[in-house]
Amino acid sequence: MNAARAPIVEVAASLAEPSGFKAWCRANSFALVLLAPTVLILLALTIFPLIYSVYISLFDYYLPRPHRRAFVGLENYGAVLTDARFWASMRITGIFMFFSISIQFILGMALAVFFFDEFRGRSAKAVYLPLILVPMMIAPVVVGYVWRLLYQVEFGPLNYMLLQIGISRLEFTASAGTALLSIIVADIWQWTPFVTLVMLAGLVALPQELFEVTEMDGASTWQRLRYVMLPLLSRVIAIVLLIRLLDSFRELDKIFIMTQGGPGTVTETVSYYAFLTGFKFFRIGYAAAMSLLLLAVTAIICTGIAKVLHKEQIFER
Amino acid sequence: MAKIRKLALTSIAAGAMFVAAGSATAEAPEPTPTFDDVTVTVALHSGAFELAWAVHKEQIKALYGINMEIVGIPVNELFDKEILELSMGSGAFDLVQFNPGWMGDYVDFLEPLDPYMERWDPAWEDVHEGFRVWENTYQGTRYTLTMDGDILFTYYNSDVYENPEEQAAFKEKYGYDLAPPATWDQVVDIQEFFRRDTDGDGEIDSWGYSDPIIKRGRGFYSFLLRYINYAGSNPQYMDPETMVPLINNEAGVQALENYKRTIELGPPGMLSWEWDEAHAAFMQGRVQTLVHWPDEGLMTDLYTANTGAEMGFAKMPGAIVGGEKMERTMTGGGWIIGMSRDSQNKEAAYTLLRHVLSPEVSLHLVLMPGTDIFRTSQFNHPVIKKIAPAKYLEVYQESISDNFPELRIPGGFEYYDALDVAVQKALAGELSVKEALDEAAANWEEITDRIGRDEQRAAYKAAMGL
Amino acid sequence: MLARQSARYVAIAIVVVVFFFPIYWMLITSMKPQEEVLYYPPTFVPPEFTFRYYAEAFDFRGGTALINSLIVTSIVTVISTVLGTLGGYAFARYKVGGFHLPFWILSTRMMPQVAAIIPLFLLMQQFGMIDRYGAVIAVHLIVTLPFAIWMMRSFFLETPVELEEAALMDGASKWQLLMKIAVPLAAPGIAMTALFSFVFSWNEFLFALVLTRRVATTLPVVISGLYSQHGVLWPVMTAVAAMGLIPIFILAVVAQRYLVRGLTLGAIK
Repeated sequence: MNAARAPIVEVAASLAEPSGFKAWCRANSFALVLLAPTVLILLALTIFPLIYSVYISLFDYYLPRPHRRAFVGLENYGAVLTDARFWASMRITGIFMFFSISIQFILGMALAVFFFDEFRGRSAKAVYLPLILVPMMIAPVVVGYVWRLLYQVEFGPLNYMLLQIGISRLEFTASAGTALLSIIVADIWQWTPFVTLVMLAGLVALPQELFEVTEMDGASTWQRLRYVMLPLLSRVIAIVLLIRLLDSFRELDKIFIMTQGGPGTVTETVSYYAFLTGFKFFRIGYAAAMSLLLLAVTAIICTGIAKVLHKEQIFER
Repeated sequence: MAKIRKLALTSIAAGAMFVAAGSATAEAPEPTPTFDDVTVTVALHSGAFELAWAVHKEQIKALYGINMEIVGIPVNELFDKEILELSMGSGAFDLVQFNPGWMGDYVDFLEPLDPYMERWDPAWEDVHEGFRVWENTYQGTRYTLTMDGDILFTYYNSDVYENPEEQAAFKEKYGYDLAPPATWDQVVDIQEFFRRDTDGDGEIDSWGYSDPIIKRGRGFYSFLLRYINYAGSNPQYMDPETMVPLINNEAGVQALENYKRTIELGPPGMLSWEWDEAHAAFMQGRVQTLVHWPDEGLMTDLYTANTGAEMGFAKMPGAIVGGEKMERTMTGGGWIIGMSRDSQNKEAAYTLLRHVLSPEVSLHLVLMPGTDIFRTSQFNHPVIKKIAPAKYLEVYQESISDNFPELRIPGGFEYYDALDVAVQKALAGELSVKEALDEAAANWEEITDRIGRDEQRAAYKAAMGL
Repeated sequence: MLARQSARYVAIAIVVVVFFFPIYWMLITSMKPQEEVLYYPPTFVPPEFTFRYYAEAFDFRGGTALINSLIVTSIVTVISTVLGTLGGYAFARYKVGGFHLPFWILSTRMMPQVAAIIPLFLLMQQFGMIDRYGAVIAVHLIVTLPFAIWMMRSFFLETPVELEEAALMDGASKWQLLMKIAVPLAAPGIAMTALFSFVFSWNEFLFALVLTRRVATTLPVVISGLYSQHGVLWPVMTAVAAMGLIPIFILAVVAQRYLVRGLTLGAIK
């Protein structure tokens, strides 16, 4: 905490009697009033439903037959953990996350460095920047449909262009070998601009003299990247990875539109599988158990990251 | 080329012209009760049905005082959205459109229509028998009316099939005469025979055959179409006594092997084909044979304009088992409509249902795209006879008679989905055919146990008319 | 040097084409006749442009969807911006809950949506909230409100506290401190928070899909459902999608300089 910025609470506390919970409440009463609506809303919309979800997960509950709901204890959890399709979908989610995030990262970084050199010494921002930002601003549902059009095996533009340069048609989402890859490509298209933009901002914020010095020393682009940019950008990189990690763990919209998990189950991410069990098969208790397990995974990631972020003061400038 | 393009695919809007050409003022069947500003909510699948039914809104208001409110639901969400409303007992939907295969899940929430039909006959006998028995009646009770005469049969390019050079070459290669495939085994030969590079650019651009839908979701129908024929004289999804799945038996393996081979020899990307890709490939002459629903039969002019050839019609491929020819087909979906048990306006809902699906009014529905002929009177109507080829109507009716029932038991949607996943895994090469079917069978066993084996046995026997 | 310069322009051109081509394809698909969409060879520039699908889009609930999305998104944006400002201020100035309470609030945005929607659906069903605007607005707040709180916290953390302290000594009330001093200073942050709340709510799909039927359907839900049993209504779908892009695109251009900060949850300025 910055010493020059003593929080008001301390000022206020020094005026009040400094003792105990009551005093704390009095000192913070204004803050508590400000926070009350938010906390109430979030309690109602997250904590209460989650408790309800835990309750449901203890039942064999087939939605169309509500009268046959039966208490089964932890059976649903056991069933999820022994469900081969669940583990397959976890594996697919893992592959999806790994490749899409790492490629987005490398590509995004490369573009950022490229644009950074391009921008230096110019005050005006490039007019084309908004164009490459569109992918991350449009609805994932639309991204899914647009790529479905592009991937049309018979009639799509991508295969047409490939044929023009003498390459046979690719099957994209229609073949087990390339379906997941095709989704990853769409995801890369959608999110690389995000990585680029953030990295670019990170680079712009660095002391510019640094680059002039290294340039004069005759350092290669790679050397500058490896020894100057990457270490100095570690905070930015951590943020980018955190956000992409958690967002891609939830990936569902594009799968829903592009493949519905097919062919077979090769593109069935765990979010999509949980959605299927809950809202197509109506195994509500089972789906609740599965989604709570997912939540636990997310919570573990989040807690781990929170520790690091707190320690490194990443969000505290 | 531009001209061909203009003609290349039908759009939903084009259908409005048909109706404008026909009379828009159909008569009411006969006097029935009138209501005082009652609203009946009809859940239909969005798109064609919604538009076709909406045409009759004003007339229904004028005749009966009923406000028809249509809720359009995308076809992939129809099952879940409707079941959620029905199981809640909300009565939000008075009438619901659904697939016969979901009957087992819907029936608990449906109002038996027998009392209504006895009072006001919906021209029941005029509905084609294949639909009456296997779609509308469940365990001896009438619950629904057919609203779309879906059935699968074969379309083919008759110029190519009747070309003497092709016939000679085919005979030489396969040892029998070239004809629309009579069996599924022949489908593979035809797929292979027409697989060519017609313009010599090194890319295959012509194929013999396409299945109706292959993509994840509804591709399992193409497996079942084969299975019900390969399975011989008494095809069953499960053993009616033990409820042990039979789809992974020898007939199942044969069926899936055949399906897989057909896809392997077919156009690239076929594994993601839906209705429109299969349709476009056939209508543009890239695929010479197509098993599909009855829509293409009314597009013969378009077909000729595109390909320069005549469209031919034939029954579905079958199988020869033990010297006997099996000729079965399925609706491959098909649409029926029933009344919610929790409807607040049952009389009005039935009145509306009976009006729209009456022989007179439903004629207008089938003249718009999306709704296919389902009443005998429609098949015999002069307007239909004028716009539809005679051979098409003949094949169409015979196919309805060959209709094999869907798996109409509770959990039908989940059984189908488990089968679909397995079939796709085999087609995509993730699992061998036998492994995939065993996996499907294991999942079916699990679903059966979960829902209750005894209950399922009773439901299965009743649904299959055993 | 000239060669190097032109190589750069070529590189930029390639990047722009790669990222913009799919959008271009979407736009021209919305202007092609339906029968040209699934046709070989594909047309990269349609011989004739038609705008009839933009008109037809309104027959397929395109108009309802736009209006619904505007209603839902506006209300969500206002609520989350106002509550986010208040809550962010409380966290920044009073340090309630230290780091972990605000981070917990943020993490609700991170949870798998599918985990939240199962119980929420059952609860909304029991309270008769299915297909009501209120239900969609409420669940969108799960996404936007934590974000707004966290963002505003980061903005207030960096606005100088001295002014407020001086005013406090002069006898100003706490409410005055907030409204008269802190809020005006954080105005750009408030604008950005509103912008991102808008985008998140505008694009949200799963919650709205499960909770709406036909009255309160938002744009992504309507777009996702634009197919019949005969396949996707490509031109209509792309036309609706293109119309849905307009507000987003305007915001992206107007607020370019805030983008980074919003997308990194305030970690990068």
